[in-house]
Amino acid sequence: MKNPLLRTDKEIAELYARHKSTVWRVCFAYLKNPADTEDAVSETFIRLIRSAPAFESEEHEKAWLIRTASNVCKNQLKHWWRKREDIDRCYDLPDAKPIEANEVLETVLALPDRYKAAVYLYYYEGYTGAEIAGILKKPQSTVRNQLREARAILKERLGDDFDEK
Amino acid sequence: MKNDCIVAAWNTIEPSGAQDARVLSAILSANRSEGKRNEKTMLHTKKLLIPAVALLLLAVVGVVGIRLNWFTASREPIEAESEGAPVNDTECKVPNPILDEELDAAFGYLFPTEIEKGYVLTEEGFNLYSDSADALHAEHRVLKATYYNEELDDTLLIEVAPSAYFGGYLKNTPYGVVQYGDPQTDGTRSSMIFFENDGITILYQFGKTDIAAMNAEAAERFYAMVHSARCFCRISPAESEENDEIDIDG
Repeated sequence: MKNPLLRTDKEIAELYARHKSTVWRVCFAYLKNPADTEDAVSETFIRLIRSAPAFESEEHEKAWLIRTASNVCKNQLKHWWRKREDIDRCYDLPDAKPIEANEVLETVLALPDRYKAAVYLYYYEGYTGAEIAGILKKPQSTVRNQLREARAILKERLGDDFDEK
Repeated sequence: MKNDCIVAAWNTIEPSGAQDARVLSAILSANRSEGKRNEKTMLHTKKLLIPAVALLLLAVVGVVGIRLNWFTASREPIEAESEGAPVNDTECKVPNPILDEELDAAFGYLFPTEIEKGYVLTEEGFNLYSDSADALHAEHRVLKATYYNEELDDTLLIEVAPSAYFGGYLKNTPYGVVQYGDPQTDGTRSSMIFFENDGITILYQFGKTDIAAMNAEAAERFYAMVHSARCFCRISPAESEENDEIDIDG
């Protein structure tokens, strides 16, 4: 994959189309409301434009965006003035896509922030623990522990609905 | 997928069309402004770079010019054909005919590059052998100076005097022929050579370097130095010291 210092609008639009869903979900998992998610997604892609990193592959590009989105969200959550929004608030936003409130989603979003990226990458994206460790730049043992603890919480809260295969 | 219900739950999280459009618009806008910012940065860099490059060129020209004596009024060496012509003080202050670039050669470092007032030989890298290196015996119009060259680990003695001064020593010593001193305990021996010019005799003596072993290029420089050295005898008689003994080894 080439590494132009400056990408054209077309290239940026294509890049956004490739990864918007992933970035959006990662951000939503942390921030739990569409307005902040929108800001975080924008910020993530803007960081990519400004830092213009060299990507070896599309997977590398995706991993970079996931890690950056995760960092952007964590930074937002650190702000003292930020009010943590409840998931129910998202229904009140006029142009936000209605999110089907179900027990599974609420339970997943209620997980501690430190588990969310790993859970998303493991259960939704289908990455292995080692791959997640590479993406998040964390030790494999840390990722394994996070997944084990998150799985325990999910099992406890979801009971029969959480039938891990 | 490891768990269908979790996958299904995640699938419900998608930006709406309006959100999607807003985010893309913000990203593209940032991309354009980033492009403009880069252009501005490049322009700014160019603005700074042009005078910087100009100054650098000026500095390089200055340094090269000084090295090659571009800015010196007289760069011409005192040529052999001017031998015998009256030597004046101005001539004596001109640079040594050994050009700077020639000093790159190892042998070139043996020579002083400046002759000031006919007796002071200075050059960075030349260490005065002793405090009396510019010893001046004005009364007898004799110069005796000894220089030490670190690179060759050798000394160079220069003596300039009216030929009569060397007297009997020269009786059996032809000009322009290398003479050798007695071998030292370490096997080295001094080598010397006399030149005569218009009643002035000049002696060059190396502590252990063999003058005869000089290659053609080095020898050429040596002769150029010989010709310039006649300036040494243009000494103001202001200082008057007894020239009791001048010991010429070898």
